[in-house]
Amino acid sequence: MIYVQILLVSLGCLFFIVGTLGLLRFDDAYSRIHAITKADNLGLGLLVLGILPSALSVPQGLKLILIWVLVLAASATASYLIAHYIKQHQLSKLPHGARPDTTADGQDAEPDPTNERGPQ
Amino acid sequence: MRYLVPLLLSTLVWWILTEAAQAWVVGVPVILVSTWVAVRLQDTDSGSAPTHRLNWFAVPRFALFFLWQSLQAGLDVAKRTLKPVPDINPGTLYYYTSIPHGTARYFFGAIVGLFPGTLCTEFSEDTDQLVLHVLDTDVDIALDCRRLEREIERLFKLPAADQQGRPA
Repeated sequence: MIYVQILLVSLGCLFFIVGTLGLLRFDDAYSRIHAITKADNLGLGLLVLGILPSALSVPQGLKLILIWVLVLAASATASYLIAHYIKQHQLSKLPHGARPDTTADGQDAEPDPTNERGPQ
Repeated sequence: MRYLVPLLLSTLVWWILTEAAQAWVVGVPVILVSTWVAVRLQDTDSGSAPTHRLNWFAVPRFALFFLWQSLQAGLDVAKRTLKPVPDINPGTLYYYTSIPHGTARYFFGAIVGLFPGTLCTEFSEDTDQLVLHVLDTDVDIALDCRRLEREIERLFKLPAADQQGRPA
């Protein structure tokens, strides 16, 4: 059992690293949110699954699961809020360190069915 | 009944948090306050948006579906990240949802961000159009979203939608 646990926890950590790597490698804000939310949720899930057999009591095990569920709820909500803020203020295409143009009205932007970003 | 479910959930969470330490002197007031807050929040919510009742019997099925999709989402994003050149083709999808306005749609907008390749960026209370950001425009994301909608209809006891939602 301990080997399965070690495997699960290691895999979980790997997904955290991958999520962070995505955050650094992807070059627009939305894609970065994709990477960090999805990889970290799976990573935390695997981590919780890995330590679950070591829980000393039923409530302790449930607490681990509760932590995962709460993080899921928080990251789902936070990812929407950040993405929405970026969209409203048109921040995704700005270079590093640039400040949003306060006169730009993101709300009335013409729907653009093509890519937000040109091909690489 | 409106108080019963929040009360039971609060009690369960307190029991879990204290690991069954029987700290009810602190626990009972905390449970009552959190129940009251939960009901109050429901009230303010339903001022503008209809509240949809959760079908508790559908929760296990949805949980399994969600776990499977989380796994897919994590693996998908890991695969794309670890390529020598990040393999993404991001874009915007204008998606027409068949989920009615209210709790169920809020749930859809939030949880779609945890499903493979999708992220909700804009959410409207007046129209059925959602703006989704997709990680790869070559994948048929709309199809996955329809599947999620069917599952959410089951979860919230919504009538099954006629396929009026147009793929954007």
